[in-house]
Amino acid sequence: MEFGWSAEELAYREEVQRFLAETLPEDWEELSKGGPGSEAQAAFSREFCAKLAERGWLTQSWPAEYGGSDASPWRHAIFGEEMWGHGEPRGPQYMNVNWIGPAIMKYGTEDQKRAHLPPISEGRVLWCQGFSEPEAGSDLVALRTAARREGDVYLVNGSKIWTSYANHADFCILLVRSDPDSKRHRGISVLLCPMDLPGIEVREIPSVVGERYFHEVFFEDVRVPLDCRLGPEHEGWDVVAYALQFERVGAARYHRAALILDDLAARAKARGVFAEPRVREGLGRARALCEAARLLTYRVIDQRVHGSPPSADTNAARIAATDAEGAVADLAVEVFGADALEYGSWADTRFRWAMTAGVAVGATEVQLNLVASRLLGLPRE
Amino acid sequence: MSLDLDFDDAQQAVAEAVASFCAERCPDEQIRKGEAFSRDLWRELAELGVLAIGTPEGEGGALEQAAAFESLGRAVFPGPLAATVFAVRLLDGPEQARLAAGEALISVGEPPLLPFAPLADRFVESDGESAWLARAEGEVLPVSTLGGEPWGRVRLVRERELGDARDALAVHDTMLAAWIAAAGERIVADAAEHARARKQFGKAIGEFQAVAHPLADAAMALASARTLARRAAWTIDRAGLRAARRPGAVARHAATRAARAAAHIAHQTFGALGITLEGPAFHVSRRILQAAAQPPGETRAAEVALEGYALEGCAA
Repeated sequence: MEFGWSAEELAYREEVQRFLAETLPEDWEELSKGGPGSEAQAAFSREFCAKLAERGWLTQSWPAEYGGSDASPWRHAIFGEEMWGHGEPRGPQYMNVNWIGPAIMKYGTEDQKRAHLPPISEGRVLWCQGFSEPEAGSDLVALRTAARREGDVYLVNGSKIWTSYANHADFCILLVRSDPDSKRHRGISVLLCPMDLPGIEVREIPSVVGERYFHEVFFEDVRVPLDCRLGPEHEGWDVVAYALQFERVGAARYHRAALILDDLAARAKARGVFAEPRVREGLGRARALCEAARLLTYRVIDQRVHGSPPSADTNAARIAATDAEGAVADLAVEVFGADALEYGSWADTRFRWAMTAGVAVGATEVQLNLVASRLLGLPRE
Repeated sequence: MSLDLDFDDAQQAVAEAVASFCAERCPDEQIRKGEAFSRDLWRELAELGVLAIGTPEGEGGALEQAAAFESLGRAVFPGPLAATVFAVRLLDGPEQARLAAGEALISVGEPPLLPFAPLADRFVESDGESAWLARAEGEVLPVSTLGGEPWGRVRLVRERELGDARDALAVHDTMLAAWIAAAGERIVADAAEHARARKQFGKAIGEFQAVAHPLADAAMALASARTLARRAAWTIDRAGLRAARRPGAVARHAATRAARAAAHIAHQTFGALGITLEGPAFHVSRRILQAAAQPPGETRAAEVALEGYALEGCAA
């Protein structure tokens, strides 16, 4: 058993930190306030990710044949922690690296790999994910956006919702119902849909976090070429299930929560409330939750290193990260009292982002369902 | 070498050896009747070497000990387990050897109410920060407890100062966390089994999310706590006791919270059945509650978890 990083890994983390210190602009804190979907951050990500690509870091965990260097999942985790710890300067591009690229590697044709993988590994393309619909949220397989074959295209009609980054994206990994007579998991296909096709309209939905976080995307008689389909027709659910295993622990939210907690402790001292029992109790508890979330995520990475099949431990890790982030945000509000209410203040920003944790990539309740059925063997309704 | 979160073969072997010892010598039926503890059983456990780790005669490290404590927790094995580990680290010479061999029984805490006092040969008075070797003066007044352990009210006379207890507390907290997290996982597994079998409103009660989600939440928190305990044990082996104070406290804090919550949820799942004396839950939950409130230092864990905030963060 080993809980410590190797000298090489520690040196790598320092190297990434040095690079970030040199590369992030002085006003990064302010610039990143709008979130990864903001105009400023999306634009910055193209420039920033190209620099990561030059160093061979952006897709280092990928196989060499696709522009990676077969780096270990641990190295990729260190890299991801540092990125999230610094407000995710990759912007939306973390998704490309963590799961869209790997899904294309596993299910893509040679042409698709040639077309999509180099731009991702070079850091010059933005993707969004077209999953949720107004009537298909947690119950994703209720999706209805239709793709009807017509000659050499799919004619796509319907709408997607809560789509982050849709305003900037070059492509959308789009879930559609390709068999109109199908139900639930069968009859779904995945399309690698260019976002500049005629008939696609993107509307922003104002949200409590950042600018341009949410969008609604409408498809009206959009003609998507047949060769944009990823994986077998009508069997797209397998592609999604594969991709989501990467997504749930892809964002190192626990690391960001831990850093924020450190910052909060310093701010509590500055405000003179650090010695109060309720603050100390809250800090101790939040710290234990942050460390728990980190270790549960490491268990998932460890399983991947050992080649174990994906398990509901992934969902448990996600729940733990949500708990940790929530505890830190609650404490921030407690420490700052009424000052926390001011729009754009330090505590306000943390609290707003923590609200997304239990909803993004599957509601906590859905994760609990999976833990209950897969880890505890409880029956499903 | 990168991180590796599995027990190695030697640690796995310890866990299995202790588990089969528990199954044979301390089966569930006996635990349920509350008659499991005896001096003979305690000596037999000590013969496995579980209590001697950290002494000159001991074999293995804290990770082996944590592996053993997980198996003991799953079996809700009785006795002053963490207290003995604590005292073994504070004492030396023949006193230490007798404790490690299971020949002497220790009571650790702050007077007047002390665990295992009516049976104890030696006393250590400690708040988790300092410690004194002590003896009982006058009569030990037996007190029965929720957890079924023989406690007692006693007046102690300090005999010898044992110095700073915080390093020993790191081991105590780590092993208590390993035991209690495993006991928690055991009661959740038992409750899940019940939730699969018990039918109401025409279906298994585990189908109701009101039942399933709290159990899933508990499973998650306990898996966290168990991993935190393993990390604390690894810290002891790799970086020494001092470095393990905070990880040990974090593990204990996480484990006691998680296991208490798990006990509550298990009782909700079992319903009235869980409230019966020899039923499926109480023999485990009572021990969890008792261990969670165990001296020394149960009020200090959250505080110690904060140690080092002036110097270093918890991020790395």
